[in-house]
Amino acid sequence: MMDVFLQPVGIVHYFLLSTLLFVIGAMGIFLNRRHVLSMLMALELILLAVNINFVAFSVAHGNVEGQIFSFFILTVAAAEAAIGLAILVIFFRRYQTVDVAAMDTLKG
Amino acid sequence: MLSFLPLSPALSPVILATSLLFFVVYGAFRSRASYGSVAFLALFALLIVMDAAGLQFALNFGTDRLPSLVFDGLSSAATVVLCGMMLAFFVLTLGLAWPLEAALLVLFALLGMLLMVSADSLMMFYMGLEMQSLALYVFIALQGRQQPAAIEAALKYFILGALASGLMLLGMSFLYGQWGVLGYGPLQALLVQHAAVSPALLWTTLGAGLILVGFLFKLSLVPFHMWTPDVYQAAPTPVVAFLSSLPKVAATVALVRLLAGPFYPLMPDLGDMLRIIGALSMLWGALAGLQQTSLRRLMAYSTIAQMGFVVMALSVATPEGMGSALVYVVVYAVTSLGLFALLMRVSDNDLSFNDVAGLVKASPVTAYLLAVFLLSLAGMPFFAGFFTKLSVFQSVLAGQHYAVVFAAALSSVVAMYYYLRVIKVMIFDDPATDQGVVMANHGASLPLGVAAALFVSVFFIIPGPEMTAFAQKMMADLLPQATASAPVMTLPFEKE
Amino acid sequence: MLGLFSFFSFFLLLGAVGVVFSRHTVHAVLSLIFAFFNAAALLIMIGAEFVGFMLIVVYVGAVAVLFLFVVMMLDVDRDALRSAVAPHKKWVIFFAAVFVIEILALVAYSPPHLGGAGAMGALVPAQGDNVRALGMVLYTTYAPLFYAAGMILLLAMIGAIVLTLRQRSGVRRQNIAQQNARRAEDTVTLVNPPSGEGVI
Repeated sequence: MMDVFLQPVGIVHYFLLSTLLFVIGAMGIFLNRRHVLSMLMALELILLAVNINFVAFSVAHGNVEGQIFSFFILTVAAAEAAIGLAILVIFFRRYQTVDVAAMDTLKG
Repeated sequence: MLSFLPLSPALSPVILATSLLFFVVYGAFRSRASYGSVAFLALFALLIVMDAAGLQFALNFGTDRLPSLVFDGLSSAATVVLCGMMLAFFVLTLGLAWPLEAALLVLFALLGMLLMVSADSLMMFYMGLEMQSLALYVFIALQGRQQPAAIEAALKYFILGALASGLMLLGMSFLYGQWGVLGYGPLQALLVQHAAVSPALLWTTLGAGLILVGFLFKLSLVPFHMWTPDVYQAAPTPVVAFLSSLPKVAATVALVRLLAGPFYPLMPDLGDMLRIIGALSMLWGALAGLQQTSLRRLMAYSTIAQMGFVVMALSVATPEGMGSALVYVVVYAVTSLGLFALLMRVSDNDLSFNDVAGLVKASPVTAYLLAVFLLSLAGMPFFAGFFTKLSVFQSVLAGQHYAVVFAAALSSVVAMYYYLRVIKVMIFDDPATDQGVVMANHGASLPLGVAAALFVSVFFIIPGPEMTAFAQKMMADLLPQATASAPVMTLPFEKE
Repeated sequence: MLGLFSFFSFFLLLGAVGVVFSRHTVHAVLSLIFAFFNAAALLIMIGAEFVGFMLIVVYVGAVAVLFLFVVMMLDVDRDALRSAVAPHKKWVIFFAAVFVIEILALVAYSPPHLGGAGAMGALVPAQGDNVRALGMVLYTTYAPLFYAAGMILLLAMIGAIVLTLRQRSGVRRQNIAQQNARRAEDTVTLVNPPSGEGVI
C-alpha cells in the first residue's frame, strides 16, 4: 500500500495537474461573471498553471529554457495584475461597483 | 530607402528603448513637459529608428541577429512601416491636450511591436505582445478621464486579452513540452525533420492552434472579435485610429513570421483552420455590420471582415499569398488611419448616421475624402482596396480553395451595401439638424487625410506594384524552399 | 514522491477552487496565496528552486498583497456579491468537463513524448545548482528578454500610477520656494492698538 506513495513522479502527473488548474482558472473567468476581482485572480491561476507546465517540461528536457520563460511569465503576470487592478480601481471610482453586470453601457 | 547614419538595423529597438527612457526622465523632471513636447521630440527618435531599419535596404545588409531577435528584410520593412505610421499618428495628435504619459504609452506599444516583428523565439514574441497589449490597455483606460465608457471598454479588452494570452501561453507550453526548444529556428528544424517521419503531430498542432487563438484576438477575428466594437465605440477618435492600424500590421507580420517559419510544416492543418476563421470573419463582419447605426461600430465590423481577408491570404502558404496579405494589411492600416484622422474633424466621440448626414454641405472635402476611403475599403475598382483584394483572390484561387473565395466574394457584396450607405448619407442626405454638421479643426488631420487618400487613389500606379513585388520576393526568400534539405538535428527524445 | 506530490497538488487544487467559488473576496485572496505556496512546493520538489521561491516572493509577496490592498481599498459590498452566480453555470461546468476529458483522452491516446526519460519516467532534478544554472544564461543568452522584462515593469509602474493618481483640489501642499520668499516685512503687520478697542 505504501509503495504507491513512493512511486516516482512523472511529467504526466504534472501535466494533468496543470491542465486541471488551467480549467479551474478558465472556469473562474466564465463562471464568476459578476465579480471582476475574482476574474483577475482566475487569470493569475491560469498563468500559474502555464508556469507549472513550463517548469515541469524544463526539468523533463533537462534544459533551463522553460524555467527562464516561467521567470519572465512571472514578471509579466505581476505587471498584468498591477495594470488590471489599476483599471479596476478607476472603474470602481466611476461606477461604485465591481459587478460585471454594471458593464452594460456598451452593448455587445 | 536612403540611410544617413551608419546604424545597424539591430539597433532600431535599442534606439527606441533608449529614447523612451530619456522621455520618461524628461517628463519626470521637466515640469513644463506636455504631450505635445514629448510627441515632438519622439518624431526625431522615430526618424532615427527608421533610418537604422532603412539601412537594411540601403546596404543590402542581410540578416543581423541578437539573441532571440532577428533583423532581416521583413522586420526592417515592418519597422519602417510601423514607425512611419507612428510619425503620422504623432503629427495628428500633436496639438491634443492629452496627459504626457499617453505619449510614453504609445511609444511602449511601438517598442512591443518592434520586438514582436523581429522576434526569433516564442519568448521574445510573448514579451513583445504583452508590452504592446499592456500599453494599449492603459492607453484606452486613460481616456476614461474624458469618456467614462472607455474605462469599461478597457476592462473588457483587458480581461479578454489576458485570457487570450493565457491560451497562447498554454499552446507555447505544449510546443515546448514536445520539442524542448522555444527558438523559431530550432523549432522549425525539428518540425521539418519530424514531418518527414510522421505527419501526425497531435500536440504540436494543438499547441500551434492555441497560439493562433491569441492572434485571433489581436487581429479581432471571429470568434474572438467581441472586444472590437466596444472599444471602437468607446474610445476617442485618435485612439481608434491608432488601434485599427499599427497593432494589426504588427500582429500580421508576427503571424507571417510564425507561419513561414516554425509552423510551415503544419500548414496543411493550420491552413484549413485559418480558412474557416477567415470565412467566418468575413461573413460575420459583413452581416453584423448591416444593422449598425453607429459609425464606429460599423467600422469595427468592417475591420473584422477586412482581417478575414488577411488570414485567408495567409492560409495559402505561398510567397504570393503571404506577400499579398502583408500589402493588404498595410493598405488597410493606411486607409483606416486616414479615415479616422478625417473623422476627427467631425467629432471626437462616437457618431451615428444622423450625425454625418449632409456632411458634404459642411465640408465637401472631408465628405469626398471619406468617400474615397470607404470605396477603397469596399473594394471599388481603381482604389487601393480593389487591387489588394484582387491579389488576395488570385493567390487563394491559385491554391484552389474555392469555398473560401466564394465566402469572400459574398462578404464583399454584402459589405459594399453598408459602405455605400454611409456615402449616401454623407453626400446625398439632408442634414438632420438645421445648423448641419459642426466641424472641428484639427491642424494636421486634413493634410494627413489628403496624403492617405492620394496613396489610396494612385496605389495602382505607384507604389502598389512595387510594394506587392517587394513583399512577394521577401516572402519567397523567407519561406522554406521545397528543395532545400533540412539541417539534421537530434530529436530530444532520441538522446539515448 | 507520489505521496508528496498528491499532498501538495490536492491542496493546490483546493486553493484554486477556493479562489473561484468563495463568496467573500478576502477568502478568495487567501485561497490564492495558499495555492501559490503549494505550487511553489511542487516546483521545489522537482528541483526548480529558483522559480519556486520566486513564486512565493513575487506572487505572495507582491501580487497577492496588491489584491488584498485593492480589496480593502475598494470596500466591495459583500451582500451584493452573495448571489454572484452566473445564470449559465451548468454550461460552463459542462464545457470544462468536456475539455478535461478531451485532454485525458489525448494523453491516453498519444502521451506527450518528452525528455530523454519518456512520458512515464520520473522527473529527476538536474544535478548542480539551479540558481547558478539560471544565472549563467539569464544575463547572457537571454539578456534582450531581460531588458524587455524591465521595460514591461517600467510600463506597468507608469501605467498604474497614471491611471490611479488623482489631482485632488483643495489639498494644502508645502511650497518651499514660496516659504523662503516670504519676508517679515511683507507678512507681519505691527499694530499698536489702544487699550479697550482691539484690532479690527
